[in-house]
Amino acid sequence: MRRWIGWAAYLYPTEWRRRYGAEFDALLDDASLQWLDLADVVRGALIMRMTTWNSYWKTGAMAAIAGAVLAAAASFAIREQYVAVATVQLVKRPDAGGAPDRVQFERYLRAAESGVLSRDKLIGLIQDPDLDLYREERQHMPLEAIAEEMYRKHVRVFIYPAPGGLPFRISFSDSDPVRAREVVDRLTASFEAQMTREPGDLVLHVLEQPLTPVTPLYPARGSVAIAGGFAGLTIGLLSVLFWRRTRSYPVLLPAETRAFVYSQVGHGGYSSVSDYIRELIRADEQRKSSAHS
Amino acid sequence: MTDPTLLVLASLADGDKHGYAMMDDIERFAGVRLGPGTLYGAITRLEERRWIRGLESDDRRRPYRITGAGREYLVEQVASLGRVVKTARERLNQA
Repeated sequence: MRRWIGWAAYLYPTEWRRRYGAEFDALLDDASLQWLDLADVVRGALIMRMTTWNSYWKTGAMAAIAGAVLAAAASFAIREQYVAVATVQLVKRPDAGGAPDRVQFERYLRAAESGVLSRDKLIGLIQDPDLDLYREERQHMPLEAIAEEMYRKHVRVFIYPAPGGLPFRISFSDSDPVRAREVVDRLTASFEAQMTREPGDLVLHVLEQPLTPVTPLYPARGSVAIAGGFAGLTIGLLSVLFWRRTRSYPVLLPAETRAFVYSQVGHGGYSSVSDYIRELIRADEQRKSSAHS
Repeated sequence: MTDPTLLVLASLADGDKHGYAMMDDIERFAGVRLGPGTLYGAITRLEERRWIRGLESDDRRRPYRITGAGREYLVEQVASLGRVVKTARERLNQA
């Protein structure tokens, strides 16, 4: 956490860091930091940028970087999902002969699927103590709802065309890669058992046993960071527009005064008219503050 | 009262403090935890307005002191808040 916030502190303008950087780092070392502080520091840095920078693209770029950093950090809070896959194939028994018939195959597959992936069968898997599936969900959701979610989101049975056969894949996604593979093992065995009970001349062959997945399918942290970058860019540009609309005051100047102001900007080392006006206001504040004390 | 600038001025009203001491003090007396970005945003604004000033320090933890103008502003704000509280209390008692 300290490291993330330390990086976020680099989003502050260089001038600001030169003045406050050391003491700000000391504060970060002393305070017990929370995740919310990361957002607080990023927000503080962006506000500081908006009040000191005149260019939209710099603010937009900084907001995009901040969005990407925040999104990448947030992606670590998402539970990783691993997907295990088995590839199986329906073939005709050797004594039956002839090529597999796709219509017959699909009918068999759907019949088997409705048995293997029935609500009761899925609830049986969810309740299996060896698998310990959906531990958190079981605390606050009915089993029927979990089975529905498992069927809709985590189990997939899909056909893909291949020469010489009618293969299909059985996959399951879970936060634990070993458990994902075990569930696919169980589902594959159930499909085999179910097919043997179906009347007809098709048998199931397992072409590829499921392996324990090594890398998670999601969250794809790169994509999350890119999406965060775009969101940050949009928010940054909108914020700077809003900021300027609410904090800019039109000042009407006669032509000769305008000429004087431009000449002051040109010869006085000011970067813009705003810079010159700010300096005048600061000097006035300082004079009044000295008069008070 | 959750305005960070007022909270910082109130914290400095009884003596000089560095950033973490202010954060800790504000959490104790107001029950509000200012994040590091919010705290230093307020410190930056207050220093720009000359209502506080940073003191010289050998340590990284630079202490801050409220100025005369800052104290005057705080007195005005407290008086204004006091009037709001008094009115609210009277109306609650009448109801």
